[in-house]
Amino acid sequence: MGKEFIYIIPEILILTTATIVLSLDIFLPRERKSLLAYVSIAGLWLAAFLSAGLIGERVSILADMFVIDSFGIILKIVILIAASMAALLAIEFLKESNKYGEYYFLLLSSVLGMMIVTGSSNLIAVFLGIQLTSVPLYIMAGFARTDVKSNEAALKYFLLGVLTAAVTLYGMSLIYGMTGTLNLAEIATKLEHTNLNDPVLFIGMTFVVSGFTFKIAAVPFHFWAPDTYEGAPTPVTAFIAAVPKMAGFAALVRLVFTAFPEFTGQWVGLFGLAATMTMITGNILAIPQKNIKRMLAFSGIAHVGYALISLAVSNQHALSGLVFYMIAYAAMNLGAFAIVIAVGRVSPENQIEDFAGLGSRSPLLAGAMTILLLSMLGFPLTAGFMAKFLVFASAVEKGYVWLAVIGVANSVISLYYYIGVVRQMYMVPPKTEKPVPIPVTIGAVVLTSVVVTMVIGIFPEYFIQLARLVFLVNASF
Amino acid sequence: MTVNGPTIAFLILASLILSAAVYIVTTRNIMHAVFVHLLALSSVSGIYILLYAQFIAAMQVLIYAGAVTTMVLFALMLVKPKAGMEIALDNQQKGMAFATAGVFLSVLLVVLVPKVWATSQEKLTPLTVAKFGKILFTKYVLPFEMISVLLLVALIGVLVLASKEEE
Amino acid sequence: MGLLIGIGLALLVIVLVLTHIIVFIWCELKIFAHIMDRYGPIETGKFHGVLQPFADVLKLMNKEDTVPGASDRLIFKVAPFVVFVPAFMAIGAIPLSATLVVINLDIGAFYIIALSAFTFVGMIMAGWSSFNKYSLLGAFRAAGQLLSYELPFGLTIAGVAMMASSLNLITIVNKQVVPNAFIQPIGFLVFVIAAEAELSRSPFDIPHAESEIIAGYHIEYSGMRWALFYLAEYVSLIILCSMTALLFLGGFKGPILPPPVWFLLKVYVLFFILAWIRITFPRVRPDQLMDLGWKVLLPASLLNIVLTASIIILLPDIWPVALAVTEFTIVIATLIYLGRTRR
Repeated sequence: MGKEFIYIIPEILILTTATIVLSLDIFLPRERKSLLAYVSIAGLWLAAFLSAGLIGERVSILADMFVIDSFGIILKIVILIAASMAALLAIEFLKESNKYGEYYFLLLSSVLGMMIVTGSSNLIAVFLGIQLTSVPLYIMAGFARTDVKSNEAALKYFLLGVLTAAVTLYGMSLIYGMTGTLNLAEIATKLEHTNLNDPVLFIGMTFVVSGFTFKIAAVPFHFWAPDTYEGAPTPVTAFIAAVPKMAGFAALVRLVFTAFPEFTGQWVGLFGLAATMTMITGNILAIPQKNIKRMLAFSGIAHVGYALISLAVSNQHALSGLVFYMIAYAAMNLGAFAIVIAVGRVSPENQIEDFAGLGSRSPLLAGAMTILLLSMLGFPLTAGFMAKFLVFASAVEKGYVWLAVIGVANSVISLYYYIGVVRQMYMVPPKTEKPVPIPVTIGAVVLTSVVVTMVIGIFPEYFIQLARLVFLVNASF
Repeated sequence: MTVNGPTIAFLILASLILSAAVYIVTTRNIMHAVFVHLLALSSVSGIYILLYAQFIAAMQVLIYAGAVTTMVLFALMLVKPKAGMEIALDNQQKGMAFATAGVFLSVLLVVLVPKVWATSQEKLTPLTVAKFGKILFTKYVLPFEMISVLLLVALIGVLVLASKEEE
Repeated sequence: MGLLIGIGLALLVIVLVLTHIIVFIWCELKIFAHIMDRYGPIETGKFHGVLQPFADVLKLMNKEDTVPGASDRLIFKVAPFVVFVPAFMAIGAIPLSATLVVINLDIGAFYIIALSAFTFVGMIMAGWSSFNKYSLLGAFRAAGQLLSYELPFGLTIAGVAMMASSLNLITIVNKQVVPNAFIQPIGFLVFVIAAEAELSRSPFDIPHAESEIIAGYHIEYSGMRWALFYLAEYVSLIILCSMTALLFLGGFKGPILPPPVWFLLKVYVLFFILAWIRITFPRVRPDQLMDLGWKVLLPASLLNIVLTASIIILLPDIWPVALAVTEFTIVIATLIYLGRTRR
C-alpha cells in the first residue's frame, strides 16, 4: 500500500488544500478572506508541479482503480493550471458575497473529481469522479442566489445531470451484467470472447457514452449548456466551459481505448455522427445569439464537435490531437470569458452589443478578444489553428476525409459569428463612453491566455511533442 | 427457473417494487408517493437479504427509510402549505414523453428479454460485516473516500444554497 | 418443523415482552407516584393497584376506534403498524444469554438501529394523515428530534463495535472483560442521553409536550390504534435498556447468577433510572434540544470514535487502559470546567 500513495500525492494535496480552505475560512477575518483564493491557487500549482514529476510513470494502483500514465498526467496538469486561472477570475465576483471559503472548496473538490476521472480505470471510479466533478458545479452555477437566472442555470444543469447519471449507471449495470467486472481493462479481456454485435452490449455502451457526452455538452446532450452558461455567474461559466470538458473527454478516451479497443472500427459511426451533429448544431445556433455568453456556449459546443472527430478516428495521432485541442480550448475560453467578465462589470447584461466600440474604449481588451476569437475560428498562427489542423489531419490520414471536410466547412460558418463580435468592437460606435477597468486578476488571466494561445500557435512543435507523449496504460492500437 | 423459496420471495419483492414504482409516478398525491416510495425502498433491502448482504440491507433501510424519506417529507411539508394536496402531472410535452418512454421500453424489452445472462457458478456466501469492511477498505478504498468527499461537498453545497444571506 | 419452532419462539417473545410492558407500566406508575410523594394506583386488584394496567388494557380494547372524517384514512390506519411492527422485530435480535437468542445476527446492533428508522416515518404518517395541526407539529418535532439524535446514537455504537471488532451483540458482550462503560465513559454518556431522547421521554418529551401541542402525533388516535403507539414506546424502552446493558454494561455477564438473570437485572435497574430521570427533570426547550444534539453529543461521539480508533492503533497492547484513562480525564476535566463556569 504505502508506496502507492506517492502516485496520488497530487490528488491528496488538492483534497488537503480544500479542507485547509474550508477550515481557514472559519478563522480569517471577513476582509481578509480573499487570501483563500491564493491558498487554493498555490495548492493547484503545487499539485501541477508534483504531477509533472510523475510524467513517464506507467502504473496501475489502488487495486487497479486508478492508473498513472502520460495521458492522465498531462490532462491533469492542464486541468490544474486552467482551474487556477478560473480561480483567479472569481476573486472579484466573490467580493460581494464574501463566500470565498465555500466557493474555493467547491472548486477544488470539482478539480479533485476531474483529476480522478482522468486516471480512473474502473467504471465505479469514473462514475464517482464525474459526480464529484458535477455536484460542486451544480452548486457553483447557482452561486448567485438572488439571481433568478442563476437559479435556473443550476436547476437545469442539476436535473439533466442527474438524469444522465442515471442513464450512465444503467448502462454500466448492463456492461457489468455482460462481463461481470467493472474494471476497464478486464472488460476488454472479457469481451474478446464475446460476440461484439450483441445488442445488450451496444445499448450499455451507448448509455455510458451518452452519460459522458453530457459532461462535454455534445449534441444531443447539450441542452443544458446555453442556459447554464448564460445564467451562471460568469467566473463559474468560465470554469464550467473550460475545465470539466477535459475530464469528460478523458472518461470517453479511457472507455474507448481501454475497455472497448475491439470496437475501434465501429467508433467512427457513433462518434462521427455525434461530431457532425455537434459541430453543425453548435455553429448554426451560435449565429442568432445576442448574448455573448450564449454565443460562447454554442461555440463551445461546436469545439466539442471538432474534438470529437479525434474520438471517431481513435488512434494515437488523434489522441495527441485531442490533448492538444483541449489545451488550446481551455486557454481560448478562459481568456474570452475573462474579457466577458471585465466588460460585464460595466454592462452586466452581457449582450454582444455591449462590446460595441471596445476598440476605442479599451484597445487592449479588444485586441486580446480579437486574438482569442481568431484562435477559436482557427486562424493560422494561433493555437486554434494548430489544434484543428492536428485533428483534421488525423482524420484525413485515417481516410475519413468527409469528417475533415465537414469540420472545415463548419469553421467557415463560425467565421460569421466570431467576426460579428470583432465588427462590434471596431466598427460599431460605442453605446457608452465608459472605459472598461481591468482588475489585476482578470488582466493576468487575459494576458496568460493570449500569450499561451499565441505561443502555441507560433511555436507548436513543443506542444505537439508534449501531446505525442500521450500513451495509455492497457491501451492497444 | 426453478421454483424455490428465494425465487418466490424475489418475485414477490420485485412485483412490490415495480407496482410501487408505477404508483409513485402515477399518483396525484405527493405524500402517498413518498410513503409508497418507502415501501419500494424497503423491498429493495429485502432483495439484498436474498443476496445474503445483511449489512447492506440494514444500511438501505437506515439510509432510505430513516434519512432520505424523512428528509423528503420534511422538505415537502416545509415547502407546500397544503401538503399532500393534488399536484398537476400534465404538461404540453406529455405525448412526447410517452412516446420516448415507449420507444425506450420497447427497445429494452426486445433486447434484454431474450438475452441469456452469464451467471456465476460460485456458491453465494453471506457477506459478513468483517468481509464487507475488508473489501471496502482495500479494493474499493478509492470509491469509498470519493464518496466521503462527495458527501462533504453536498453538505457545503446545501449550506451555500440555503444559508441566510449575510448582512 | 423449523417454521413451527420459529412461530413458537416468536409467540414466546411476544408474550414475554408484553408481560414485561404491563409490569413496567405498573412499576412506572408507582415509582412516579412515590417520587412525587403520593400513592399512585391503589384500588384495582387490592395489592397496591397491581391490576391497574389490566384495567387500562380492557378499557382501551372497549374504546371506539375513531378515524377523523377529514383524515387520509388509509395512511391513518396503517401508521400505528409502521411504528409497532419494526419495534417488535428488533426485539428478536436481543440475546438473553450467549445461547438464548431468537436470531443471532452478524449485524445485531446495526439491525436494531436500522429498524428504528421506520419509527420516524410511522410518526410522520400518523401526524400528517390526521390533518390536525397539533399532530403535524408533533410529528415534525418527533422526526426532527429522533433524526438528530440518531447520529450520535449510531456513532457511539460504532465506538463499541470498534472495540469488539464486531457488530454481533453476543460477541460484543463476550469481549467485554470490563464493562465498556468504564472504558468509554464518553460513549456511554452520549449513548444514554441519546437513548433518552430517542425514546422522547421527559426531559426530551418535546414531540408530545402536553402543555404545548396536546399529545403530539397521535392526538386523533383512540382505542387499540392508540395502544399500539403506546406499546411501541415501551417496546423501544425495553430495547434501549437492553442495548445499553449489552453494549456498555457487560450484558448477560456477571458472577454466580445465571446469565439471563444478570441481563434482566441490568435492564430493570436501567429502567428504574430512566423512570427516575423522567419524573425528576423538567422539559427542555426545542432549541436547547437541538443544541445539545448537534453541538455537544455529535462532536462528543465523534471524539469518542477518533480517540478509540487512534488509541487502538497506536497502543495495541494496552489500549483499554489508555482509552479509559484518556476518556475519564476528558470527562472529569469537562465536569470541573462546567462546575467553574456555573459559579
